[in-house]
Amino acid sequence: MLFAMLMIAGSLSGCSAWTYVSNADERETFDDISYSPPAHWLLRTPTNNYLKLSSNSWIKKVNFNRMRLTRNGVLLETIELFSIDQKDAFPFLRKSVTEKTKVEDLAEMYVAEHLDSYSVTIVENEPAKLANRDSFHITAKTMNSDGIELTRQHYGFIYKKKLYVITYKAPTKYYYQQYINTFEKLLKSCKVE
Amino acid sequence: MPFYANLVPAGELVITKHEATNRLFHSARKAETLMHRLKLVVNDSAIENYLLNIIQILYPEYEGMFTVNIFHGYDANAFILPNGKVFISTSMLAMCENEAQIAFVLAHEGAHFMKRHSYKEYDKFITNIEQTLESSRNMTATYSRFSQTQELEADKIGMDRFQSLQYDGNQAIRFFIVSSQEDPTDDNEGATKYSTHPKTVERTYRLEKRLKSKKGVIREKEYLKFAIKYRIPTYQEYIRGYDYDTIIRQYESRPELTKFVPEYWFFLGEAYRQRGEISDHEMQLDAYQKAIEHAPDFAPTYASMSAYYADLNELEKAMQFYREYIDKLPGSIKHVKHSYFSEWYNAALVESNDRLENKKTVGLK
Repeated sequence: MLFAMLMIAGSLSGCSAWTYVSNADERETFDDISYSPPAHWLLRTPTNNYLKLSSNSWIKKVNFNRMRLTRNGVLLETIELFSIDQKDAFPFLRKSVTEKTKVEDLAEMYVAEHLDSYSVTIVENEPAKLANRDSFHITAKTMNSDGIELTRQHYGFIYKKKLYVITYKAPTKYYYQQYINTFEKLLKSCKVE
Repeated sequence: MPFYANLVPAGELVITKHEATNRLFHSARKAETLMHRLKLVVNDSAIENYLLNIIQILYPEYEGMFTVNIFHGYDANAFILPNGKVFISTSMLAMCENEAQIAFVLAHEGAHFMKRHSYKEYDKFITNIEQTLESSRNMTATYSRFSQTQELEADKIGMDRFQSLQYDGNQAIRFFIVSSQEDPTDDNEGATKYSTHPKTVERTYRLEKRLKSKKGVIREKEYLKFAIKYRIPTYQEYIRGYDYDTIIRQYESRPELTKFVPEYWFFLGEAYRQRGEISDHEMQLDAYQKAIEHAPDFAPTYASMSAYYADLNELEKAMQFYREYIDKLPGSIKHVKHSYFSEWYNAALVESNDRLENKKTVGLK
């Protein structure tokens, strides 16, 4: 049973800038992945963040990197890349993973760690290929407290001792379909270094 | 001293009795709306009416004031809003063993309503009901922010009402025992969801003092007729949340669960798989085999058996169970592993057929 938790998210990198992506041919790197950000989107330079997780009996500080992309604002459509050390990937489950962990088990742990809520409906959970690596592909819908349904896709795999996750989130009505092709192009452009 | 005097600190804006009531009712309606908007409420009018009948018989003087709603809840929880809306989680329905136990829960909640405890804890109630609903994961963590004294008072009144309807008082005590087996952190120090509740030992001690000697009504079959369908989804949520500890602990403390729900063996097998200790591998297989023996039509067991033998590189057995899973798939709980297996297994099926026909073989990864 997961305990009530207190999370404090902080940024260790100070101010991070939003930059405008003018050219579709630009390549950016995020840790060991390179990708082409979509033109005319805003890119927030990768930041090192941490989550301070506490429950009744333990406190843990977990570092992770995050990069964000948006077209109309982060409360609308957002593409995010996360990387986290494989031993810290699942702090609540207290499970560590390796590159040998099967993708279906990785997906199961990811759902248990991040998507285990009654307001989240898992629509799809299937294998996929990302940057020529086996990854999980989860599509989930959630309702926020304003009654707006959001759809979010999650792709994830382990590479060089890190869990990489790429997500695309947008309100289901109108915004999700409008930029899904952009997201898929970004996925196709991903390469591991 | 006027009723509302203790609701607002001295020097603050004075809220009249009617305003306090209105604010509480407004917050209660808001909380109810949010529950529906987050799609947390289950529409099951059969069990809602069944439980409503029980609470109306317990508190006939409040006829028409109660409504019972079932909500998806990870924790076994029940609460009542100031406007008489009772919410009971699906996990609570799965945990209770008979009508007497759920009647005690309703009697306890009705006592909070009768004694207007939410009016006396006005500040805590307003803050907590709105905040905790926003965080859907731990949303049931602090619903009932009544004081320990109020909880004991609700136990006392609930027990008296409950026994006056000839329910077996021992089931009220049994309810706390089962609840503490479900969640042993119940009596731990620290900020758990039950930190506002008195310890189980104290509650059961006080209830034993009010116990009538005559054995009362339990009504197990009537209750299970409505509630048994919530057990499998509850266990499924435990596995989805990687809460294998709860499944294993429940089985160790109440092995009779497998008689009520033969599919429990499958969830036990999954729990051993998730825990992954050295001895769990054998216990996992044993549990799956019992699931096939006692619930042969439950499809997910075959998918898990298939995965088990695939891990051991026993291809023929893996394929055999996988084919049985595919045959049984319509109408079963969708097993997430199926989509991950299907690519591998489709390739393995071709490989296997080729071998049988002595055709050219291709090495599998």
